[in-house]
Amino acid sequence: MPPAAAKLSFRAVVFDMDGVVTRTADLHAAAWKELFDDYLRARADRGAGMFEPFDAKGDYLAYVDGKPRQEGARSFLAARGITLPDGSPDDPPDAETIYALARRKDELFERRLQRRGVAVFDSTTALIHVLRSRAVATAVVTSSRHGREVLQSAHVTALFDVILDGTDAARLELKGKPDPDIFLAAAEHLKLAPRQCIVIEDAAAGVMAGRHGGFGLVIGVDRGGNRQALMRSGADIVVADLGEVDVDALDRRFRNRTSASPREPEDAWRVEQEGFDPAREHEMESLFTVGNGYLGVRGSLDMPLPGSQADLFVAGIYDRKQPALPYSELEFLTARRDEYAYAERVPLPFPYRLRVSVGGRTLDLVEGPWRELRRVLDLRHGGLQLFYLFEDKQGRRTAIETWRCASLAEPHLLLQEVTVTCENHDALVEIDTSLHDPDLADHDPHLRALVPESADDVELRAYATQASGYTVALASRARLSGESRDRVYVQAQGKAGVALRLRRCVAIHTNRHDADPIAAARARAQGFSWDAFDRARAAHEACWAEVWRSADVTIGGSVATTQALRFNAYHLRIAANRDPRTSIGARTLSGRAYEGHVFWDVEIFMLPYFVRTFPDIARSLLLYRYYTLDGARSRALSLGYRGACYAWESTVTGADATPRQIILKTSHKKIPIYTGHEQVHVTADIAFAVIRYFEATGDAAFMTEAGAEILFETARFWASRCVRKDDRYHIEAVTGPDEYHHTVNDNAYTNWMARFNLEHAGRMQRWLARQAPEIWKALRSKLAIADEEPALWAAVAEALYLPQANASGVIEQFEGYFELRDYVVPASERFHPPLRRLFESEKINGMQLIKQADVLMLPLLFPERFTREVLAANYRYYEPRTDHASSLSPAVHATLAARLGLPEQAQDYWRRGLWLDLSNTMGNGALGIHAASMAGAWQTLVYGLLGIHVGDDGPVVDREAGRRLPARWQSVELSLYHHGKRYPLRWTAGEEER
Amino acid sequence: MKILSGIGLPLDGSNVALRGLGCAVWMASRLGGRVHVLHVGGPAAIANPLQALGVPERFLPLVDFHQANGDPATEILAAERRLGIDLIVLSARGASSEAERSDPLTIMGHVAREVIEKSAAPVLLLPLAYREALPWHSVLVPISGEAGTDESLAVALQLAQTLDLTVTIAHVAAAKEELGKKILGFLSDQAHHEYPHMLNEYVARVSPMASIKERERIEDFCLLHGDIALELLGVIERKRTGLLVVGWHGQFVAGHARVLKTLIQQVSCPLLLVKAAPRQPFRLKVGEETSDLENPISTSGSAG
Repeated sequence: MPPAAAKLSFRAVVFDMDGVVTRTADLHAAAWKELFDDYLRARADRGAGMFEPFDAKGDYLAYVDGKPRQEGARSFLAARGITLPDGSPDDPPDAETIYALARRKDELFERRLQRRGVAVFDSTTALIHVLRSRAVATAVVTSSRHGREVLQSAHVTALFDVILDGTDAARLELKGKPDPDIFLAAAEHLKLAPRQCIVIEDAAAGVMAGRHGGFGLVIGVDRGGNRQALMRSGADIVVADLGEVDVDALDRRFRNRTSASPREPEDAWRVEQEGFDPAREHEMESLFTVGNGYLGVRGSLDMPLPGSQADLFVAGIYDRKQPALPYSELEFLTARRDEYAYAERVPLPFPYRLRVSVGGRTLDLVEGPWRELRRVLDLRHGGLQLFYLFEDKQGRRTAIETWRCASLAEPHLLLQEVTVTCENHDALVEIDTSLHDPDLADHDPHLRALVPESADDVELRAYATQASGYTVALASRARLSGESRDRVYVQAQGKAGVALRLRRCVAIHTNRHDADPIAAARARAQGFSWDAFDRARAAHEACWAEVWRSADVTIGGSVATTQALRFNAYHLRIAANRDPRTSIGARTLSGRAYEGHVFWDVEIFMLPYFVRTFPDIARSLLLYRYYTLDGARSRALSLGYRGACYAWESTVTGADATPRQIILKTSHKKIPIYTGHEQVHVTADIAFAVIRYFEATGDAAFMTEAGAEILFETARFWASRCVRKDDRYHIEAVTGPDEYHHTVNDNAYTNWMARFNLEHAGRMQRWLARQAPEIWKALRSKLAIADEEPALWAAVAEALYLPQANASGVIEQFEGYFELRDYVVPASERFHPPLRRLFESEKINGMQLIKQADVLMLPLLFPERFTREVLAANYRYYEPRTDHASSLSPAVHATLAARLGLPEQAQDYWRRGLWLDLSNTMGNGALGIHAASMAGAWQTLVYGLLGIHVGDDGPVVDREAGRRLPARWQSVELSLYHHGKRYPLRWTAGEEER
Repeated sequence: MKILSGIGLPLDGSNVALRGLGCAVWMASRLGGRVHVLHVGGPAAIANPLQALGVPERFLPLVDFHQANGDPATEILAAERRLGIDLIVLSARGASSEAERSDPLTIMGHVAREVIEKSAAPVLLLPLAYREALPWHSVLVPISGEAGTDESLAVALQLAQTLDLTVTIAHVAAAKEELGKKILGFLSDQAHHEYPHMLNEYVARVSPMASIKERERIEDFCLLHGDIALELLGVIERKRTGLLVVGWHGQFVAGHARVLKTLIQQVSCPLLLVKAAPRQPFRLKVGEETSDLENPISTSGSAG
């Protein structure tokens, strides 16, 4: 015990009796063996099967250990294919019923107990004495009806505050383990909540009971051969004997386990992962990405594993498609598209790569053995910390701590700090910071390594893409603390308890911005002064403080919700750039999914977020569409239309990068993809975003310089894309937001958006002619807009067919949708990526099943245009037919449910969106985070749950917000930009104020 | 994960035990390791003990001899730790192999059984009908859907890469009625019946530990329905499987490892038995204060 024993966090320990406190297992096993062997032999003699004796170890552990007698008997016999009637407790001992067998076993056990007496485990009683001396209550439970007798016979009853045995269980009608009843009853008798108690068990069924009961910690005791089963059943720790248990170490484990959910205010500023699960490693790498919008680096271990997806991405660096890389799912591949040199974003070598060895042994998770691994994302300061503890067979412990960031102050600069401490030994420590990846061709197949001229003390690496002509240069410098020169490889004598510290800076440049990126990277690295390391870090952190001034949302009463909102805000910020030549890929710079392509996600889901938090970033994102107008124009032309038709999936030039088919990796089946040709609504979505940005910012300069041109060219496209039939215009052969239905006519969403586009182009033309006649003149001449064209836009808008609500108030998603086979989605089929659906695409095309909000996008984007009745009718109709196979769907439904006064549904959908990545709802987080869902969750909070209305005087929280917000929330604080001014907003439970 | 370089081969002087020598030496030569012949019990020949045990002259450069006295299983397990053996090659039955084969209780000698249950190292088990067919060209990895058996795929990929083999992964979904009868309702592999995509998740699960080259060894996924052992036997025949890598829980007692027992009786290729590695604790500290259900990850890693 430490000199001043600290107060322990757990209040009680509940012990299982047999095998933990007392050594009765062998008595039980022997009694069972005698019982079953007699019974089975008698059966065999009758000719009913062969005699196979009861295995006092294997069968005992597998079927009867820890269970009440009847259940034990039933379970073992079932395993032998024998079913007996239960009978009744009054059956004579020779009856062939479960009760009779159980009773006979009881007699056999009692006989043995009297004959041999009971031994106890001394290590257990020693632990109990320590616990009691430190004010921890103790209880013992057992399914055995003889529990009290056994404890008395062992002289240990005085060690327990509460004793519950099989007799009590029968009296209280408690179900046997693995039901948690008996443990819960013990906690109740102790007047404690289960989470304040620890359960110690030696049987898998008992461990399960402890887990199901919600106990703070469950310890398994493996007396031989049962470790795996105990772990599988949910034991937090498995020990061979309680002599191994140190009470203070136990306390730490308890605190760790029970603090899994964030509780303290500071927890809302960090996301922490503890331990290692190979199955989730790629997903963790996505979640723990660091970045600054110019680049992103996945949160891989500093010493990467052979299969780590340790990617660096630089915004805007694309190359020809490499067929081995996945599309949206690991299972989906796409073919080469050699005709386009910018089809896929390029994964680049990991810039934080380290090799550490101590005493000649490499330290990484493959070599091991390791004891601890923690990865902590510091959201407040935009940094990632990793902590590794290795311990070899001789007990030599070495701790490695690392910190890394991608500077927000200086986007070309990465910083890394590494501390190696030999905790209890002296050894030679070697740290190799070389960026060389021997498996470059496998990891980064787009790249060809160049051999830049080496520079003193700077490691220079440069790579050229295969077809797109990009060059990326990395320059790395590293210095061990106390040394006067930089080295790629350092070695030092590690002394017990003395930390060795190494710092590194990496400069990254490409020929997108620098004519000679190698020289630029070298110059930046060489220009970096080690004395300025702390200042560079401080500058980075100051930028993050600025980010949080605009982007922070705090929820009083829910640390976990604040944490999730901040995590999302962090990812949205590191995805975004102020480089108007790039935009945000669907999975940002955090993963390979969708080949880094830019979708409507940006304009419809992310832009509303950026407009209110970082309006300058919103502007830059729209400028990307301005700079890719030429691509959109060529595309319109190639399709036989006028103006600009934006690509469904866009990269560098604006040309369409959508694959034409997906190839399933396992079956090589080819699935056609229609979205590239058909999902034309993206063109109107961009125009919509231009208008909404202008309304929210009043940025007339943007409108005159870029926005108007986008509006005119897109309106031109629609005027040529719409087909006149009878006296109406129609839009044919499209795919709406719901991708399960392709080649449909008059998709309500597409038609509405196209009309919006046409109408606003006309309005903006009049505005421009009035506000800036010179610019209008120049633009008219540049785009060769004929005098009658604006009138044509208005005429097409006027006559464009808009599907209207039917008698029930429901708008048909597209022509003929109501005639399709109806299908209401069972709960089990929701929220999965659309794997099976794509597989059965033609069948799905004939059903009313939809992937995501389609018609429901309309009341979301145009709330003032739909009555509450129409909104309700459409929500009621479409919601049950939606399987939410798109991560974009939950936020839309949440917002609408909030507006409809369905707070439970709203909150449920909202949580799904908010925690979509942190809980890996879609199961595909390995390939990157879902930025649109993150921004969508923010929109739901702001416009749905809080019901914020933005008027001329700025944003105002709806007076009724309290009815829609979770009951335990006490307050919400955030701020929104409107027309260049930041408005702090606060909602407090009970007082409706701004 | 270490490459298997110390290969233990217990010999008892019988021809049955000696059958493992060929593949032990073949693997050692490919993996750059050594074969440790363990002779337990009985006095060893003083001069040339290896020849006395029937080890041909040409194998001698790769083979070391170790003599021990005592209970064979105990001595084999002690030698495993002492010599740093990371693969044990073993016949399902030793000298007593002429016993009745059709009786499932006698397919495994008691020494073999104790070793496969207790050894930490994987065991290359030679089945009753073992026929040496070297070099191997293909590995079959049956996967049950339980996370505990992932280890077998990781080991198979690594071996395939070093021994130049192709890997086939097979999952057999048991017939429906059988599933319904499963006790406790832990249909942990239910999701995997639905779509081959799920098989990719297995690969993803081991992939951080396996290199791209190792993963590229996977040549085929087979999704099958029906009797597990029968379906696997079909694949073994179609694919001319040279080696079967089986993840298992480590208990051979009655009522356990039924499929494995059938395979040991029926196949002629060796079975590499790989025990599940203890799962490391894992936690992501996020989620709502009030409910675990809303945050599926906070309960992950428990049952199933």
